[in-house]
Amino acid sequence: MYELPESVRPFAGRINDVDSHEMIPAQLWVEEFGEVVRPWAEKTMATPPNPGNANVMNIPDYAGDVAEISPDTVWTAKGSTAPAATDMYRRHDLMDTMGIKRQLMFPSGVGLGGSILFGSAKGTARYEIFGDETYSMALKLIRAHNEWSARVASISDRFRPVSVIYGDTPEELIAVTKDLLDRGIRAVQLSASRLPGGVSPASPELDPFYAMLAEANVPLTLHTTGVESLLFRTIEWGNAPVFQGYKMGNEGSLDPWNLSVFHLAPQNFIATIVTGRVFDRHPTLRVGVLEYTAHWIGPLAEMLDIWHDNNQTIIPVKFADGSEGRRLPMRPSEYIARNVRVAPFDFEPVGRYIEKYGLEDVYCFASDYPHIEGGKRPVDRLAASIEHLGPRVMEKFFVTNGELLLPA
Amino acid sequence: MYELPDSMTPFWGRMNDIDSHEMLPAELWVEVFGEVVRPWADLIIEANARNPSNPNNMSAPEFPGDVRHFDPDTVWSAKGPTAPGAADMSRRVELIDTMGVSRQLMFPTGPGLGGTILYASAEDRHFNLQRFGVPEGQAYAFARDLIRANNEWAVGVAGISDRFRPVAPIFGDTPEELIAMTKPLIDRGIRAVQISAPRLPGGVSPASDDLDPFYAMLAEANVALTLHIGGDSLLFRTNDWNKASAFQGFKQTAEVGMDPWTLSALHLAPQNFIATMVTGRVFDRHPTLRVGVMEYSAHWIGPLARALDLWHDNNQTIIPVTFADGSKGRRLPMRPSEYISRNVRVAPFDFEPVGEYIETYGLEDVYCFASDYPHVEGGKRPLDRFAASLEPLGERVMEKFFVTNGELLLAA
Repeated sequence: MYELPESVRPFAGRINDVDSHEMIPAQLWVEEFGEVVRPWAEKTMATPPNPGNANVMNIPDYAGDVAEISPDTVWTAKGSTAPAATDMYRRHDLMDTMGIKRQLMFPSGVGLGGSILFGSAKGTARYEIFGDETYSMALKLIRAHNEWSARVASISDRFRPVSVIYGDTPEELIAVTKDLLDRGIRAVQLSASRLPGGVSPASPELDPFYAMLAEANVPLTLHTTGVESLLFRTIEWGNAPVFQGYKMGNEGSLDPWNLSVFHLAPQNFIATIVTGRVFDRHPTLRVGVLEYTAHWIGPLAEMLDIWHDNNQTIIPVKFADGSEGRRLPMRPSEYIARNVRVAPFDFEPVGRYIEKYGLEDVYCFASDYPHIEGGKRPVDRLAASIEHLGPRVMEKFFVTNGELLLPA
Repeated sequence: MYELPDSMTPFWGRMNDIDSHEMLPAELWVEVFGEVVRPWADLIIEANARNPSNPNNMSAPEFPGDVRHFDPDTVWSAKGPTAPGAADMSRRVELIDTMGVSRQLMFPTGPGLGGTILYASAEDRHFNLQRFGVPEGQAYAFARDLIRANNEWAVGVAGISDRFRPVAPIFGDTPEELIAMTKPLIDRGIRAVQISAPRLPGGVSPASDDLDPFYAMLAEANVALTLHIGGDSLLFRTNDWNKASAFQGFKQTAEVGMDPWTLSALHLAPQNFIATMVTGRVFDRHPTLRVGVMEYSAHWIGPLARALDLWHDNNQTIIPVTFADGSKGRRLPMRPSEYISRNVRVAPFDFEPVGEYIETYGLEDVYCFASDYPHVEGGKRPLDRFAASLEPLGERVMEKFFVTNGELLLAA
């Protein structure tokens, strides 16, 4: 019988779990959520059942929520047939067996489907399911889920169904949310890829919304719905009075929103060519990223290495050296170290970056001459940041690394 | 007279500088780059006249020529079109000699940068160019004209010296067009090219096999492919970044595709959302607001906090503002990482090294346990992996991760 790790035992019965799900099988959706969800249920039930994939919610021979609740099953059973995934009156037993005190419970079927459609952009595969009806279908599914979650919320305060909130205007967002709070909902979920209420999350028009949540101790949550989304199909994210009154560089605004996202374009570009095996196919390709800051390249390398270790390939592929495998022959950080060079601003702690992420072959000196952003006497600040790493690393930063982009 | 730090002495004369710029004043652009750039010159001259004291202005109405003296003081502190060697390329070698630089990439500032910005910008960020004679809907065509004009100039300049290398922006609606544009530039002496980071290169994913001849050509010629800041608002107006054979054959969950591109980008939506709230002063105005981010991975929150702290320290506000506590200032009263610690909670997957995250970034109040029950992504027996990652940090931090931190989202 499974036992909690010794170091976790002091917390048994007191653990808080900030992400769990209901997972009612598609066969029960119309019964549980109403006739309005039938098109989504039918689409789901039209997908082939796959006992090997526990995330498939089409369970034609569903026997009811009857799986045993035991220390073994609660930490390994997955999918709609897992215990208490459907029958909310079994959820306490589940949590007690898990040693969990309180739990946020997100949707899987109807509510998640609605959230995904709500964040999907025209032209994506998800959007094509309902075409121009996507947005209205998303709202129908979300509302049906919210009705269900308001009913379930009254069963216990220990597991808290999370409602999905929406609104084309701040007023609509507030109205939708207030109604749910009044009916006992203690956590809400917003789409991370859509402007909340049609405005920037920083807009003062949302202040009454935020104040309402804060006063009610209701957390605002963002939960994954995938990436084929509306994110950055608009730049209204930065359209709020708080982002006015900042300097403008020749190359872009220096307001804090813009500064927080402007490196995402090269980050996406580099991630795409590393994971897309471009450097496997072109091992001597030379790529430089300039004036986008350098703080992101270390975390990107680290993140790509994490996904490399947790690779999700189904079929092995052939690499440029003729080998076959599921993973790139080198780690993403190694391709970056070999093929990519990035220039920090002079105020960036490049020495600390190298200590933290390695990548001592990646960061390079750049003057940005004669632009202001290059800073005055930048060599002094950059040298001060890396002096403690010694002349070997300094030689790389000021001389050797740049040679990839400036070959003899 | 300015002297380099002692620790820099060994590198004097051998430094490589991978980002510098030409900065010809706008008043010379038509003469140097041709009539085609006149609308951009007129726009810049008008815009700069509104803020004549900004040293980054590209307009210099009284430009006396590139006549400033080279000395260690000026080369490391002079900025703008009047800086020595910014306009007269025949003086550039002397500039880099005075800087102690061996080789230098030189990006555009004038028409080349203007074209790059326009090319990477959404249509609602096109500066109302009709006022300067660019017909409505023609801004992308004009962007290409600006880039072409820059590149003609760059090819001429590339012949002056191999030590400073003008970088040519490249574009194309198809891989063939991209290659056709790049090849003559390389043949004519260009040794580094710049591609727009927020646009699909040649209209396809950068990972597409269709670009292999392009990459092979650059690799063989030892020509650097560069991404340089300049107008990024088109990013993610398309989902085609992962339309490449390298991204096929991966698992898919109900919530998300598991191909490597998607996994590399799925956290960007909440990252943007949290960044907007923090820098937008939402947590200053609502100090008890509770925000959670689930199943988007957690690797990004530490780097985001660090990046926002970095910009907090290098704040670019012009006018002080009043904060919720009545204080006035240019910076948020607390550091962004402190707002994140106080108001935001993030759940990692069980395979993430959350212990390492805390060692690297702090934020020990931010990361929380989540089972994701009964989804597959929650992993089997996730407590074991989380515990193994956190045990080196001791019971105090484990109590936070498994119990205390989650209370923000699961209040009693």
